[in-house]
Amino acid sequence: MPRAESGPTALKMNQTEPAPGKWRRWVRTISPTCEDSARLLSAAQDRPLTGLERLGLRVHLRLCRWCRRYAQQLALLRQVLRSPDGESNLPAGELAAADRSRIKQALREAGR
Amino acid sequence: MADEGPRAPGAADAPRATPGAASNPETWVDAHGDYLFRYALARVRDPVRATDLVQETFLAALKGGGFAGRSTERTWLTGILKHKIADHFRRAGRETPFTDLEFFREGEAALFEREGWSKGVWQADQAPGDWSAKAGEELDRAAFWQAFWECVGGLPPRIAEVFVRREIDEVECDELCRTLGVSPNNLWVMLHRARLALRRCLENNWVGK
Repeated sequence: MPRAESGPTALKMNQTEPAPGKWRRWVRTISPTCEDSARLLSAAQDRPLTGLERLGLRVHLRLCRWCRRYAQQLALLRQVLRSPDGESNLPAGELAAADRSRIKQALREAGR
Repeated sequence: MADEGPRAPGAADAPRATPGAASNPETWVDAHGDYLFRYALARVRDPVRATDLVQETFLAALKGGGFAGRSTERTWLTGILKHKIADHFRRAGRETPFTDLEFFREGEAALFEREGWSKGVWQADQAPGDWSAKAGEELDRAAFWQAFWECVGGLPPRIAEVFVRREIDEVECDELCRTLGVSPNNLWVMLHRARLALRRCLENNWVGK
């Protein structure tokens, strides 16, 4: 196998160009596609991957910069979304004035 | 009317102080109402339902005899609200509609090449971009969260709820499957597509700005 190609040039194999060379064909047979890898990366957030899944994913991530980015992005999302960010991690919004008075009214009645 | 679920935390074990002795419950509404509403709205993507949950929370807090003073008043009320939200999802016990299971199916397919030797490879204009400029050391969290909630707002409400409960509230998958009435596989597909859709939205609305 052409080891020399595993550098930056190999990353280009994912960019669209027509004639598949021997190298690309070989890669396709041992590595899952980006579509499959994206599924595996997402599944890895929710369950342990099987040995075979991990192996395929590892091979693919070595070769594909785009999927490496996706992996980093998922990791970032998980890290930020699960960090206690206080009130900044809430969507914008406020109680409508009518609801506010209705709730106060309900509290007054319940407190009697 | 509202309070048929299990007792709220802090409600059962709070000392039986005279309601309103420490603070007038009506002041809770101004002090914490908006915060609790946003907290509920993040999880239950329906303003009417979120408002109801806030009201139920205040009423349960009142019934429980007032604030016991072990934490802040807001933490105490948020704890009650969390239980109200969990009850809401447990009680709802709804079937997940077909449209939610189909969400972003075509969107997902369109992200990848469909033909020839590149089948399954990211489309060049859909492939994940470089986030390092925005996501580095000095990540602007306020800007991130703002973009995040805008992007979540673009998801179908039920998908958004599932995603937030899984990613922010760290609810386990089997509990989500139970309350949603879907198989683990269906859940993973929903989460996967939500992640793909959010990734793209964040890249456009956060990284790209």
